[in-house]
Amino acid sequence: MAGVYIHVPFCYTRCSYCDFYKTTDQALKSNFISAICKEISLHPSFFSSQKIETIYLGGGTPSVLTIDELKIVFSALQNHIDLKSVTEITMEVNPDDVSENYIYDLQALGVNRISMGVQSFFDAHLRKMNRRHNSRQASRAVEIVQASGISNMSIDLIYGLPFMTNDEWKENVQTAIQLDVQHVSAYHLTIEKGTVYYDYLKKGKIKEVDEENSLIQYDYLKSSLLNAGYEAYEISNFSKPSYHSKHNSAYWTGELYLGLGPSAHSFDGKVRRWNVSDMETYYKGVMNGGTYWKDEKLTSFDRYNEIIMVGLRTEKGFEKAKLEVYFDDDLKAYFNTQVEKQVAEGGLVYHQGWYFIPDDKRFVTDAIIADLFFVEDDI
Amino acid sequence: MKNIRNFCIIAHIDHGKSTLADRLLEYTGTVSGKDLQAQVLDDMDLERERGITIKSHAIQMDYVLDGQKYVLNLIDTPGHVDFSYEVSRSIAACEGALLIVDATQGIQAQTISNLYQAINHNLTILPILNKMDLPNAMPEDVEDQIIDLIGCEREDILRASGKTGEGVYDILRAIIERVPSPKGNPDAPLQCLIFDSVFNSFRGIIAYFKVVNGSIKKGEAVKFAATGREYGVDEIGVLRLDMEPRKELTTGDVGYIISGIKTSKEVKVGDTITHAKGLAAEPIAGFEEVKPMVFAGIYPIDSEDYEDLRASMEKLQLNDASLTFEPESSAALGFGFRCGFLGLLHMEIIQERLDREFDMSVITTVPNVPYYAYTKKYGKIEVHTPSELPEPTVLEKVEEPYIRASVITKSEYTGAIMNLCLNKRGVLMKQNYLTSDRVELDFDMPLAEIVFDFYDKLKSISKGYASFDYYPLEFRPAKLVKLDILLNGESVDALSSLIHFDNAQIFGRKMCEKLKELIPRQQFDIAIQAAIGAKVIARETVKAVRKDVTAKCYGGDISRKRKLLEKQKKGKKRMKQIGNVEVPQKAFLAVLKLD
Repeated sequence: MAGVYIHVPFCYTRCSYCDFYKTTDQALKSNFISAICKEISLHPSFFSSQKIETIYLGGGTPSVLTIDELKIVFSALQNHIDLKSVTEITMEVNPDDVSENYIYDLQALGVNRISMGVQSFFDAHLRKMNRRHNSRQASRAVEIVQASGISNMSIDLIYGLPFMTNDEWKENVQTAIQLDVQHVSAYHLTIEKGTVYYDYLKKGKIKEVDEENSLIQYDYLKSSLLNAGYEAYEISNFSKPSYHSKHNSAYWTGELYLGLGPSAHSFDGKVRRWNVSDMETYYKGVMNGGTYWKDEKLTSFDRYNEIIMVGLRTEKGFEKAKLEVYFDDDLKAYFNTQVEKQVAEGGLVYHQGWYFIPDDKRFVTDAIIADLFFVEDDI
Repeated sequence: MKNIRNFCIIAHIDHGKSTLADRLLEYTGTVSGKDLQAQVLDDMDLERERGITIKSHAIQMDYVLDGQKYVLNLIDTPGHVDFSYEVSRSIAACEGALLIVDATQGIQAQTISNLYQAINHNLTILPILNKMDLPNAMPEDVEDQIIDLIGCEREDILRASGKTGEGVYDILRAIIERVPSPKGNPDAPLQCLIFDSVFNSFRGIIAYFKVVNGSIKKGEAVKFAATGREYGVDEIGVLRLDMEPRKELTTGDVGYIISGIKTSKEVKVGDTITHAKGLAAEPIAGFEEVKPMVFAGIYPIDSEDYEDLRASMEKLQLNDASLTFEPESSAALGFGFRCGFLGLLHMEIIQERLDREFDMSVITTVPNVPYYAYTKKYGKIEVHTPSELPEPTVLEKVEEPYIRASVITKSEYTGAIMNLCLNKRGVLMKQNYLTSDRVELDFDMPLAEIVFDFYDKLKSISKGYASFDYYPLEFRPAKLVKLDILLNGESVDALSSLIHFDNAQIFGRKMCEKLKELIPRQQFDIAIQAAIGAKVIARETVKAVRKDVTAKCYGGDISRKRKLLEKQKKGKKRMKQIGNVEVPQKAFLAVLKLD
């Protein structure tokens, strides 16, 4: 199986925490539509060799595209992909873009999963994140989607916000549970370079939440969702049984994917490739047959590290057999030493061919991953 | 012989010794101006950077004055207390000394102790005010200090500037007119005083010496008195900018000898060269075996580099006989060497030379001085490392080396410096006003107290206006304990130290605090404890990391995140694993510099 990701780099406003590539210049939309359609046509070999099962429109804010614009993109997809084998088409939407008609039309285009950027149900938080919707709009948008025929919806929430109390977070989690959505993605705030929050942090206007409260919020999130019948299938992703995001899960199991649009990443099993994060360069490159991407050929050590890294973020972990193809005697011995140590220290559990991180260590996953990593000595 | 002048230069660091020496070379035509790489005498990179002379050197100049040709031998001296014995041998080879004093700064402690050595050896002192070109020169004040110190006449003091060349010809004239020619008997049995040696990768060890009596010829058989070894004289000569071979050197000459010596251990500074046959001459008085006064473990950062480290140390020892080392192993650091140094600076120099010349990254353990430990069973033993200290139950007494420290400072800092020295277990022995605002303070102090951070503290409390020198005294009783550092209950031998009981509490606390700063948080709490025997005297905890996971890892995040974690892993790989605790190398180094 394989997936297709389309990056829609448009937003009306910039959210204070966001470091994705986006532009607020809507005038570039028509160029974008043309370029995406052209780029879809540039990958016949990928489409012919791979069975495409998932499509994901992310951003940016894909819901700034009109139905007419989306129709053009979908028809381009249809011309190159056998959509019959596609079982999941996800689109990210902003609550205030949601209307009965819009959702109805999305469904008609084939979209069968909605991922909505709710972030919080408190207006004060939303304002501080520079979100353009309010809490009432968010609840309403969820209801609209639920009333439509789309029966697979995810909402995004953010915790670990500097200005959010633990009680407020608990309320957000409870609201999400009451809305009875199929899927929740809950992200701890990471303050990345180039964001408004990063600037605030440097200037001392905000402070990062201390670990103690991060942990309280994470524990609450996880235990509440588990109690409500969700599965904690990845660090930031929770779903009702059989509602895991297929598209995203494919990233964690090492499936192939094709990324289209500026800043989108692709993986063909050997090479990782990423498009330029600039609308104009992207457009010119695609339209004039130039190079609009960079790539990196992965060594077997890179693959070894990646499999561990993405696998351990999931509840299932990684399968030892998947790593073994990269083993030589040294790497095999190294791997065994490292996992034995982690198992002894309680950082890893081994069960029937799989290694995974136990519940109580999920929040320190990075250290465990890095410990298993193989890096060559600097010369 | 009557036209030979052998002289050295006594000066504090930064008082312009090397620059002035370069001027002498230039004005005598020994080097031309354009060949003059700044400071010819300091030919090791490290010396040039630090602006100090680590090893002695010598150079010969010709100079014609009033129609007479003279041979001037400048014997350079190291500028640091760690090398005071080498200084004394250089001085012993001379008849005169240029006392160079910075006209903007006045006399410093280092100058005084070397000056006393020169006076004890009956050298003629030529006082020179240097840096006269600087606007803040205060020649009258500094002249007063010099007159007080050596009791000369004001008109005996020369004024010069190494920078502009002012007064250089006057210095040359004074050397010839005032420094006596060497005494000695050309017909007496051969006696040569070795004052330095260098290692040359093609020629082996080259010893520098002064012929005190008799004469030495190429091809003769000679004997080194201290080692008793005999050699053939393959080559002798004088030291110009390069070595110039001669057939014979006679009484009063300064030169070099090459005799197929492979290791620096065979050539001891202060030793006497005599003829192997014929009349046996007495060794020249004043020879001492140089004894290391600071010991520390040196370990390769990567334990696989142990053999390379050994090879590097052996090469270093070829031209630095004062470095001693023997294999040692540490549970924490693996295989390494217990090394003996003349002092802290010497230790730093060795570490830097290992790094620069041999590309060896090393960890140095907490340094200590040598101690004498007494037990009923074994009597007196010398202790060089914390693990050698006998158990308290069998230990009868311990003695530690004392020094006489001399500090010269502005009088306004007297109180602060006294406090510092008294806190370092010093006892004030003498307080002497050199001028109304310059005071010399002498203390008896344990050497161990200056090994750690004495220099830095002295510098900071005196805002740089204090100079310091010392010479060794005898060993005196000490209340010594072994302080251990434990990480999660496991003793880290590389962090153990020998310390005076009264300082143990504070030192232990500081060690724990510093280690807490330097040991990164891990998946579990790390207890850092300082203990004397079974008694814990200080404790800190490095709290476990509770959250490190990043929120998102989708298609576009994988490469970046992988590289980020690989970098983290590389950092961890460079750490030393002690039990289950990862300790960065800087933790071992930083304990040397506690606040």
